[in-house]
Amino acid sequence: MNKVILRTSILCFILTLLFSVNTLAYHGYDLDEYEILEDFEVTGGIVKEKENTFDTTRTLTGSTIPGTLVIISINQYNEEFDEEEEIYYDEVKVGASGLFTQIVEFELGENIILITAVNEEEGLICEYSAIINRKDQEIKKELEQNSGLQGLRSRTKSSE
Amino acid sequence: MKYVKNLLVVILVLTAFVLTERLWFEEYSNRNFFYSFIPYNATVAANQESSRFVTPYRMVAGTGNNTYYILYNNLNSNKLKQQADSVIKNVLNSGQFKESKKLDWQELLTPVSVMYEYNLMMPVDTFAAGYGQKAGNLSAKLKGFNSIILTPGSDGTINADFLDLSSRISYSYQIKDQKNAQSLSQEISSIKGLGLYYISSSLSGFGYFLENTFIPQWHAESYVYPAVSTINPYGELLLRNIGDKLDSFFNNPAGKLMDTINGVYTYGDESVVVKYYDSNVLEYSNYATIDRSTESSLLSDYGAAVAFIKNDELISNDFYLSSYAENEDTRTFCFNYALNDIPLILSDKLYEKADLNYPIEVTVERGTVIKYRKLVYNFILAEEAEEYPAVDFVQALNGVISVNQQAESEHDAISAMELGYLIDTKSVETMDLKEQLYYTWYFKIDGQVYNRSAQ
Repeated sequence: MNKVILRTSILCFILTLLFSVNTLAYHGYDLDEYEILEDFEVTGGIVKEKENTFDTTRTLTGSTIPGTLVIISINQYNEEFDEEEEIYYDEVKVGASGLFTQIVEFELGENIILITAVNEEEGLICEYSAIINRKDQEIKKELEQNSGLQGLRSRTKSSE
Repeated sequence: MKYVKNLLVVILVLTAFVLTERLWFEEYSNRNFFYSFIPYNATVAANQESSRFVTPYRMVAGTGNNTYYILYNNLNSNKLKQQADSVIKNVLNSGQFKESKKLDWQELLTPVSVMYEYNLMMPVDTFAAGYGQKAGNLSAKLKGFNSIILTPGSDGTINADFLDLSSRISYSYQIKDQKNAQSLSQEISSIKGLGLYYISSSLSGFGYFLENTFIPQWHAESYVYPAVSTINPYGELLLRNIGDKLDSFFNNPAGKLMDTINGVYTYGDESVVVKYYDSNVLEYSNYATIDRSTESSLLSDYGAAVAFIKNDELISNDFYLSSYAENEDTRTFCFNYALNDIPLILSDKLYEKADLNYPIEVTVERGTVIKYRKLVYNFILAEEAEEYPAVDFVQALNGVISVNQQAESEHDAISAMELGYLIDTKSVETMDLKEQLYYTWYFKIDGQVYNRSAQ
């Protein structure tokens, strides 16, 4: 009986821990303390939530209500330490225009972009995430060479 | 010997008759006896320059991923322009009409492409003539356009989209040209700016702009722009000193009169008056009678305007057509300068003081330049002085929007936006020969101009 109570207590503790972790936004804000910030949009720089690219940089653009703090970070999974590592972090305070732009750089492999927009004055918060998988430029060159060869082949065929 | 003397006398008498006849019929300008040995043939020069009309005021190379590089200077010697020109000739010759549809910037600007931008509605026939071609099947669907976007495809096709911004319609033509498609694609990819690049407002979802606008961007502390100084090529601003540098405006420079009238240095003969104002604006007016039977076209008048500017030896910077207006008998062409692929911006104060909208304005009537106004300065890029821009687009826009909100303006749609070198009255009024220009953001909202320093 004691074992059952102990197990239940441990399970409750883990669930409580998990629940409390889940209420924290990407950048440490307690989601329970805020309403949802509806007026937030990443308008450029990220096309899909998960995409492949050869680009080393992107210009993230977006809009939200003035006075909002936009926190952008990029994490990568570090196999050696079996954990996510932050490779980029920056904050932008949105001004009267309601716009923000931020140039971000990608490392090779999966780049996990985490964006938190917090408006302390209005008590609003919003989260956004995407995964950009940066591929090696060499692959692009190979693909271009192959498409060039295909073009050459098709030209040779047509001239024959 | 006597025979030779007689012959000489006869030749001199005949010459006297010819010159008297010319003077009698108001060709006073040719009274220089040696005019025929040192001719400036304006018609020949105008014909040579007219093909320049189809050169865009700027080219935008889109390398994909909402990244663009903008070129203003030395376009005609640019390899990308030469490659794109050869594609345009092919389109004029054998382009197949695909479709016309509502302008969709997302679709047009997403792929790798090169864009020609014009500051006017380019008539198709004039455009084709500038390339030495006939408009052919283009003119059946299309009368004029403001921009062309060439998009090379990996399948060997090239799309040429002609954009009419007034009706917001794009006319799409296509050619199949594997070799040119590959070469064009390579040339576009080889364009890299020196730290400055642009993003499209349409692709970035910035709703403030009335039309797609390319917004300058840079990586913090990786972009330095060269400082630009003004230099007055007229040197010491004295009546005679300036007069000595105006010879190219007179057919007989030795015969020109000079005086200071109402505080303005004035030079003239029977048909030409040149004024040098204290705002450092030079104005040339030609009052000679224009032959009403002379035919001219947009191309020939443009050629005359450019040839006239090029004949002014005291202009040393690359200039581009910025605006064009047509009246009953005259055409006025306005030009601007670009330095290091960055345009020059005239301040509002300068406009008020100098009554000048553009650094160079030329009015042509039937192939003859009748008015020419210019800000006299030349511009030099400093070799060593380089600066980091401190204020980016969003920061500058925040400042403008704040001012607009305080003024309780209901309008905040941006009709024009540029990052450029601002020349202000401070630069102009200073008699120092060297004055640095300001790296500046320029916004136009509901007809109101806002300048914000980028330094």
